[in-house]
Amino acid sequence: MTKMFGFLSTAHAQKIDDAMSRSDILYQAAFDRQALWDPTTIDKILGSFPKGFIDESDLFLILAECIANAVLHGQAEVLGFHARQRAGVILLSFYQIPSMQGRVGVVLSLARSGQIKECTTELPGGLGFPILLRLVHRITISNDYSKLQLWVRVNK
Amino acid sequence: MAFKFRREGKDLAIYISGVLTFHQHKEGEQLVYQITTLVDNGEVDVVRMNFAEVLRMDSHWLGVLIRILRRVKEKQASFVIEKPNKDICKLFDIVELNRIAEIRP
Repeated sequence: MTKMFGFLSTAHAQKIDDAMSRSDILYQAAFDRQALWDPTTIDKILGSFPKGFIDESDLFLILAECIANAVLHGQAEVLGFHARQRAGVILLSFYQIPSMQGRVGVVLSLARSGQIKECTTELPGGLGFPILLRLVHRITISNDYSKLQLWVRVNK
Repeated sequence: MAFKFRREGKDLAIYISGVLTFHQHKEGEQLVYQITTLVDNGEVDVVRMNFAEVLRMDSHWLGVLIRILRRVKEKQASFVIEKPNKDICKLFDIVELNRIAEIRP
């Protein structure tokens, strides 16, 4: 069941559902732009996210950095978020409509592939992406730049 | 989030509280402006930022701190971060803020 933050059109809700529906979901939410700019939204996610899967302070930073990236640099109107558990890994996915602008996607792709020094001056969010790289095991970006996925190693 | 200033001679203490994220970017700009104005005018020798009431913080506010720190150091003043909680210490550790700023538990 997707937790809704704000109002999504039927078309956007359907797109989020199509892009993010899986069977092994721990948590799923969708946000309109107003909800993304609401400072209480992150606390609401933390309050409703299942406990014991990921360190709450890590989850806060991941949410804050990814939401900031989506609204400040990615120009997202709508954002979907879900968490899935696989063996030893929690996968956190952020799906945005519209997709990230090409330049942002390219810079993030370069940074996550290890070429962070080459693109530091252009890195959106300044310290945000380097922090994410320290918190998670792996970051992937879909070919169409609509989905940012973070792979977090867990003990459970 | 909220912040208040207290002056003791040429010491400036800033007490910040709440959750600091990019959502409060206007407050961040205001804080940078107020502190740098005092430092630029030579009214302050030491800037102490008290984090005892800050619950969480993101990279946007790290940027705010670094902007303040740079200006304070340019003016040969001191910059101290006081009483950050363990979550914020972890963030400072990730970016190795202790290499450029004095952090007091």
